[in-house]
Amino acid sequence: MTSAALAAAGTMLPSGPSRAAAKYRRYNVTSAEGQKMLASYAKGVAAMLQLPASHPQNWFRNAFIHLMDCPHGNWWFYVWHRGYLGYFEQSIRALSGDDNFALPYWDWTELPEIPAGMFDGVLTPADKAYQPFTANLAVFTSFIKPALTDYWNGLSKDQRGQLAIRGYKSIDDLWNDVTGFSPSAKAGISGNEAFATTCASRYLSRDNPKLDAKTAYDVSAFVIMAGLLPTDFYNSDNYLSFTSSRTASHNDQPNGTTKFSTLEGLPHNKVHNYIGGVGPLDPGPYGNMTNFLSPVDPIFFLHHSNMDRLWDVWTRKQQRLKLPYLPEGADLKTFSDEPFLFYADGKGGYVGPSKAGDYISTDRFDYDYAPGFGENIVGPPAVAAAPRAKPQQGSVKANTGTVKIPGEALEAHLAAAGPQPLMAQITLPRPTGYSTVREFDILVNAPPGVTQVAADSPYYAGTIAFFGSMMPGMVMSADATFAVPLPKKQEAFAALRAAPNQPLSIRVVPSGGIGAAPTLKALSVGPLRQ
Amino acid sequence: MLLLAAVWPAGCFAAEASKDVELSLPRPLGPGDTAIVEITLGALGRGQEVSVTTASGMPLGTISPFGLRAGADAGTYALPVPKETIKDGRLSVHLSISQPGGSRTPTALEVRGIALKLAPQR
Repeated sequence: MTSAALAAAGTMLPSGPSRAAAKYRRYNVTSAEGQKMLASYAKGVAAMLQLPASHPQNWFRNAFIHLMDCPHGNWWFYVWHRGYLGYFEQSIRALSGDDNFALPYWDWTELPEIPAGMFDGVLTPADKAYQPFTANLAVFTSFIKPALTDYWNGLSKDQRGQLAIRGYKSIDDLWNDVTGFSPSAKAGISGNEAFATTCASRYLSRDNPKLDAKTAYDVSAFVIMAGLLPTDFYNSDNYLSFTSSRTASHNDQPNGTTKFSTLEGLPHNKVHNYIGGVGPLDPGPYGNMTNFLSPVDPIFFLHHSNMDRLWDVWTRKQQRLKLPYLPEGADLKTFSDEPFLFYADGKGGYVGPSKAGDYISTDRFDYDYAPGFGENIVGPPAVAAAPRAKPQQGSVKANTGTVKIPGEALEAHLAAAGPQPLMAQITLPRPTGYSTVREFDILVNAPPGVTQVAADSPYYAGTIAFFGSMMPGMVMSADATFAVPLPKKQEAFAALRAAPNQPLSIRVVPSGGIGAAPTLKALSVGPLRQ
Repeated sequence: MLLLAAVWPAGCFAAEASKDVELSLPRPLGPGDTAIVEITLGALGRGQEVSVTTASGMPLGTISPFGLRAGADAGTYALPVPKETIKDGRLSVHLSISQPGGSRTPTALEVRGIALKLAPQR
């Protein structure tokens, strides 16, 4: 599918599966129904602004739930935000007096600018209604911190444990993220300040509502459709995964090991940051959307409603393809049992301990979505679901990796019509700072005496290249894993076909034949998809 | 020669990473495949973004880290690549990192690795 075709696929008429009608429907904010919802939304926000700081539904206290508990860069990103939005929607419903209220969504792919209504009254955090609370940091501190401290002091042991994972061992730790103060630097870092003054709370304005070109690209049809294509809820390769990294806790903060899914890593993050002014306002301070008090800006909930809609689209696509739409086996229990401990409900109280599994289905809050961009991917499957095979784990001895390949998998690999080759996952260390060898050839089933090959060799499976020079004196401890398609050359597999019980062997040799071979760390082989 | 991946090791200086990066597909692009640039970032300053374009300037995406603690590495991101930008299995990309008032070439500590991969479509 070309990029144009990929993008166009998302704009065709929707043809999703029929479902039992939900009680509430989340509309595109640009529709007549969506505009009506905005009016109720504004009533609800105004009411939450007037609640005392000690009230769980106070507008800013609601934003602190996000600061204290939101997951990013891990596979609980979608499900946590579904719960957060669901309870928030209940609050707006209750406080606006609109019993039919449902959060509208902002489909930035179709409208790459902040919807005009989101500059009206309390729907922008720059409105004068916010002034009594966010005129400056001192005002905000005196308003919210005493009540927040009381709340902190009443937290359960389990809640404290989760906050500790997050790096908050005291209320002061948490407050440092509000002010941007860095204890290690003993100074404030402007860009880290989650608080934003009223007048600087949102970069985009009624006169300047559009996403810039780079942000518009990250929400473009092509990117969104690519983000919906993965067929695994979680895959350790993020380009094959609908969700970001699997972590031990939803409170694990993103770091160098985090692998962001396309939808979280591009449209989600970029829209957040650009609305807050990343780029034009560098190096900060930024508006609310750039940091974890982002729910102070009402656009947050329309942005996340669209992210939640895309999860729903992806889920229904998986269902139509008869593919799993959740983790499987023990992983599902691990995923579902994750405790969510900080939500406030629609009645003005706290939800208490609940679990991720409680929020997997939209049925939990009884809503669905009016069709938006990407809906057509839910359409009838283009291909039948095929069985999938796990990679075969190999072993390494004397710097040679071996792995047994089932005969049928080998024949499927060698079949001319088979589009997907067997893939070897090869792990080896990065070269050290003193190494002069940067490129290594992969040899498949090569006789022991073969230590150098040309590209037309039947045993040649490609070259791994480490880019750039190494810094002398620095020993790189990190390993690197490469996905290497095995050649479809009959000669390389002739001996293996004659003796099916023999393992396939893989070696890594210096390209060009000069220098030492790297230490092969691990090997597995399997089809990406059957 | 088939280059399967290009990795920028930590410890390189900006001047060493100033050229466009040429990437190669691990295998020929199939009709149902989506090509992906997978890019691994180190620690960035707050508000810093990494823009990825083709060598001719066509945007491939802008990575704008969100939700990171100060000093934490920014993680790995997947950017879909339009098929028409890939010629003979190769793609040349240009990386830049924002800084107040402009942009510059990222250092190898900021962009730790980059590879061109294929995601099959179902």
